[in-house]
Amino acid sequence: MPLQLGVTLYSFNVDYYTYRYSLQDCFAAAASLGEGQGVEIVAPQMIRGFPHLSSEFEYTFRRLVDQYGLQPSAYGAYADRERYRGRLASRTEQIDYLRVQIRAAARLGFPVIRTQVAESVINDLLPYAEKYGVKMAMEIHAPMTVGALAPAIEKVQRINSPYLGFAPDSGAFCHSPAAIYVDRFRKQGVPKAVIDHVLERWSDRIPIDRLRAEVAELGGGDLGDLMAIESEVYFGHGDPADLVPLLPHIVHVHGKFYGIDTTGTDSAVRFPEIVSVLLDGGYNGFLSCEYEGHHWDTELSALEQIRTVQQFLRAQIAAVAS
Amino acid sequence: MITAWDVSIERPAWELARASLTEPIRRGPGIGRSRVSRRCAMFDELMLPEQAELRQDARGGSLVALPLRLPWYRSLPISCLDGIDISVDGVAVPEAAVTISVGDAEHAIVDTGDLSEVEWFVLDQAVARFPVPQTVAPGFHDVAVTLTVRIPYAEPEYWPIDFTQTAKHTRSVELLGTDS
Repeated sequence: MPLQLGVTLYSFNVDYYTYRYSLQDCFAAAASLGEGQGVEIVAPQMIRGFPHLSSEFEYTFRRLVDQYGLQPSAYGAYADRERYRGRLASRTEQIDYLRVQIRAAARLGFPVIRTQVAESVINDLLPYAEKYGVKMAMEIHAPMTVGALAPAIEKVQRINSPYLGFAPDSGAFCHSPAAIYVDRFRKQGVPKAVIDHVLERWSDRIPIDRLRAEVAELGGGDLGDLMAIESEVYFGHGDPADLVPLLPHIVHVHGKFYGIDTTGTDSAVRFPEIVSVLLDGGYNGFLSCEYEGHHWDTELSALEQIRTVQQFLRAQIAAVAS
Repeated sequence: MITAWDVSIERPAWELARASLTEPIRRGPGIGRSRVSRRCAMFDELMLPEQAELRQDARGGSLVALPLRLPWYRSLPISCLDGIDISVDGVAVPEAAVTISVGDAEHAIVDTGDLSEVEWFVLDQAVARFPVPQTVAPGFHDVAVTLTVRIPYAEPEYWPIDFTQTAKHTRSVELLGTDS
């Protein structure tokens, strides 16, 4: 089975937060993207009572998945190790917190949980993942890089279980910061010299502290500072080729993107290259499309953005298959 | 290790925080809705509504009940609420006098540190309650709120981040008295 397309309902974050979309509207929007679409959720965004799973949510979710012909792809789990003020949760508390989520994912029919890169996930939860038949995918998100995660990757390679692996986020592999991000700061009045400087220094890959200091010196103010910080957290410098040695341990992929144009080019993400690496490597899990331009423009239609990106992804998948 | 995240940063990272960095929306009785930027209006209205309740408490003092939204994309336990600074007409409310409720129970902010089981669901309003001087009468008042929320991502072995989301909002709020 080739790579399968899906969507994370987090893409509709603004629609959902502002009550434009109900829970059911989110599922209907996902279904409108095509039959058999994968559906991913951020569990503590949609499940009241997280990390516990109420029977009400369980039955509602299963009914919506059946009604709309969707495939559960990944349950967005959270380690939340700093959830108590002033201390980190203990090892036992982490095991309890995450195994409840693994069990919830299984009850909802998810084959995968997406987690953070966490000690408890690597060391303690494999028995529960195996018991419930749920794979654990630790997310590689900007500014993390495959290189910086070498210690975690070595552990995962040594454990070598199909139930423990990674979920790369395509936002960690960008050719430049997104146009929608630049436009937002321009409209808010950040001086051109500051914007140009952030973009130039992003390409130079200078450390974030230095970039912030330089922006402050240029008179960037609070907005210039925010622009500098966001350049690091949203737009990673990773090379898609870095994923090749990781392929045996990739169990889920976030297809993060920020704004696709009519030629199929995202203004930030190196999509065709990432998808090529996955297809050439025989990846057969979900590519869960995650639109995040809503962070800078709350009026653009997330659904239309995802519809557009999937047209190009389908074409690329079909070209390789033929 | 991810050395780039070894710094402690205060990071207003999401839409709501950014709205706070733009021109504060001030809306008095004479200013119509059309003057408000459409783009920010919905978020600001949800985050800090244009109306709140003003009530007499049992001892004859005045108490405001102000509904707020969580400035984050997912629910968090109220143990992640690290601070709430409120001022009315420029007069700061002592934080120790502010309580927060996501259901029936009211909690002082200082007492929420272990309440990891008390969920602030992302679609729900929490209510901040605080005393104001009796000279504060029903009508429009300048209200400023700063919510500081700890985003509990820290995983020291792999992601040693100190991540705090700060949302600041200022607007003219109509305090509705018992006769309103």
